[in-house]
Amino acid sequence: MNVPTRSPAPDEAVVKAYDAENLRRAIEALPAAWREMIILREFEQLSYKELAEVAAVPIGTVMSRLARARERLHDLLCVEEG
Amino acid sequence: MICDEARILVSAYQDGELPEDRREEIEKHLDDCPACAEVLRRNLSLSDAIRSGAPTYPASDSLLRSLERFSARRPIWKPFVGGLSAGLAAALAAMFFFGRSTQREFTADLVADHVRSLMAAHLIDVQSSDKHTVKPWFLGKVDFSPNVPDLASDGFPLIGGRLDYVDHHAAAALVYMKARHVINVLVVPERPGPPVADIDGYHVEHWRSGDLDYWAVSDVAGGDLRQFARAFEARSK
Repeated sequence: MNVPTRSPAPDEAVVKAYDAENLRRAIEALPAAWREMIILREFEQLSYKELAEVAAVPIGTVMSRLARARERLHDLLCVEEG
Repeated sequence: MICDEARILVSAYQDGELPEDRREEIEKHLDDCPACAEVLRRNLSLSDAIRSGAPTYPASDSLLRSLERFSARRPIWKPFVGGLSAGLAAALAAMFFFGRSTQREFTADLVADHVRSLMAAHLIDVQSSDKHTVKPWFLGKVDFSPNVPDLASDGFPLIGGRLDYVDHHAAAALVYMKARHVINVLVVPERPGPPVADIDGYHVEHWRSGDLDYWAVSDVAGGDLRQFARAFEARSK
């Protein structure tokens, strides 16, 4: 497994802003295919290879879905805060 | 590297899923591009928030429906080539239905409980090999009545029971032996879901009888524990 050699500390304030209820709403608002990816990745810590098998898509699609899902979640959360 | 491409890779980088050469490439880009570095930072915060929010994450109907559709597409989730747990769908469903700890954490809790029971010299509250002594002992201590089958003839003598706590709920713990190994059976109402089979060399088996869930934890061989679980079920009928 390739682990990033460095990772910045999560921003406490941002973590707080992502409160559970907002997160839940934002995750629900995701397209189903993206939601599945995020849930299986974050909660079950499936590898990209496993995700690709579960969703029957290429690994490249896993990669882009996760990236877009995260971006969308961030956008949704920021809109809600504003 | 252009930022559009980097945004995709940043996410995979965060998940430790990039090959060496791409990793170096993205690290170089992150050094040069504050905007993409910010994306990584907020993605990590987001992951933290999602994971830490998990224990109280309530199930939404749409999420459940989505999971059902998801698992329906792949009948019974037969084991995947990659060694993915066949019980994943059920584990996910349990996680969302109950909104408590995730299945893996729950199983880890069970194992920790087993280890604690051996170390803290608090294995048994009621010491008896007689099920007619152990079963009534739980009356008034937990609001359910566990099956306490006699499994001595199967090679699993009962040695007693104790009151325990699992996932913040009162649980009945039944203690059996297999040769010199202890088998803890934790009985809790409505806590279904397949176990994550092995943790730290301990095996976990799960079965359901009536509206109670039974979790057996032990360091006996996995095959022995499965045999124990089957004998327990058979003799509970």
